[in-house]
Amino acid sequence: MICPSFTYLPHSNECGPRSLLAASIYSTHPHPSLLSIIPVMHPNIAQISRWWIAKSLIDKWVDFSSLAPEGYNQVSMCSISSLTHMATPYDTTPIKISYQSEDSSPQHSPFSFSSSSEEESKNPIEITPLSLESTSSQRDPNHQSIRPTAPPFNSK
Amino acid sequence: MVQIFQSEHQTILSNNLSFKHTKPKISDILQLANIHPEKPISALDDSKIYYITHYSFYQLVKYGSTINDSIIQTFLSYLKKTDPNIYSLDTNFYQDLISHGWHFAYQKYFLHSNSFQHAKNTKNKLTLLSPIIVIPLHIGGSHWVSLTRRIISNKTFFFYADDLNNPTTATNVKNQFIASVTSSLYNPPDSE
Repeated sequence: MICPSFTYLPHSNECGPRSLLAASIYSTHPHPSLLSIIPVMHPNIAQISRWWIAKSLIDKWVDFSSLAPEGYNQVSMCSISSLTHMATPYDTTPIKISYQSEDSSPQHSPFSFSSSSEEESKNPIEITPLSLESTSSQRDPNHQSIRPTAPPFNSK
Repeated sequence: MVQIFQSEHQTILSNNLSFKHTKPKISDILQLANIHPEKPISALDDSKIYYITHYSFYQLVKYGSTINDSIIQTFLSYLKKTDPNIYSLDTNFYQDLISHGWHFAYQKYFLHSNSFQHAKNTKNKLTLLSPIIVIPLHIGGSHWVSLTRRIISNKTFFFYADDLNNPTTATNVKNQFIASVTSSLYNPPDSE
């Protein structure tokens, strides 16, 4: 079984930590399947897996509780600036990249967005990767934030 | 003043190199990587086989750095503590399988009556009937992928994980582990 996972860009030589992460999950999961590793995927999985392995080496015990997504903040709680790296999932890159060459058949990863109709292939839907920058840039400039205003302060 | 403080701090750290009775702090290990990079972390030498140096630990947590096989072997030895049924093959297994074939790799790494002394000396006494075998694969000298062999309900499953999702690498690995190359007992025809 070839178990797919997300490939994040930029790749930061995280193959070692991520292979150990995958091996740990597939060796201990009670009902392993192709998608068993997907729930722990995260844009910062490179550093999360590095520090999870470092913590396991120090503790001499592999603690799977910190692998849950809600436990990522605990693992990442360190003052190292490199932890702020947030990679972009390769599989969420714009779909038109897959159709640059019309002759060759596009090869999709299992998690890439596929379009079946011809109209969609001619006018591919551009899906930008989720990131903090994109969400802030795509924000409507005319949008007014609904922030509760404080009552006027009486200086008397 | 700052230099004097740093030198004193380094001296204290050097004197406390042996964390034999206390759990070392990650920050201390990272600082010691600048002082004694090639010195092994004494608290992590349980196996007496794979030594993790301060620098290799520093590389583990540093963004963009590669990790060496001592990290992988030590982690897999700790993974076995969580479940005694988990066995792991050596990181050199795949290279020996490619270079010398299945017969040599089987004699070197699997415990049986005709196995090499290497398999008899290691603490990891794995056989073909071991229920869970983790196989770290070093591909092309620069890439790590993992292969996990599990026997579930008398059926053998191979779980292959590659963070790059490269189909060529997957095909090459699959060709190295097909039943005709290895063994029908190791890789049964009905395995997935």
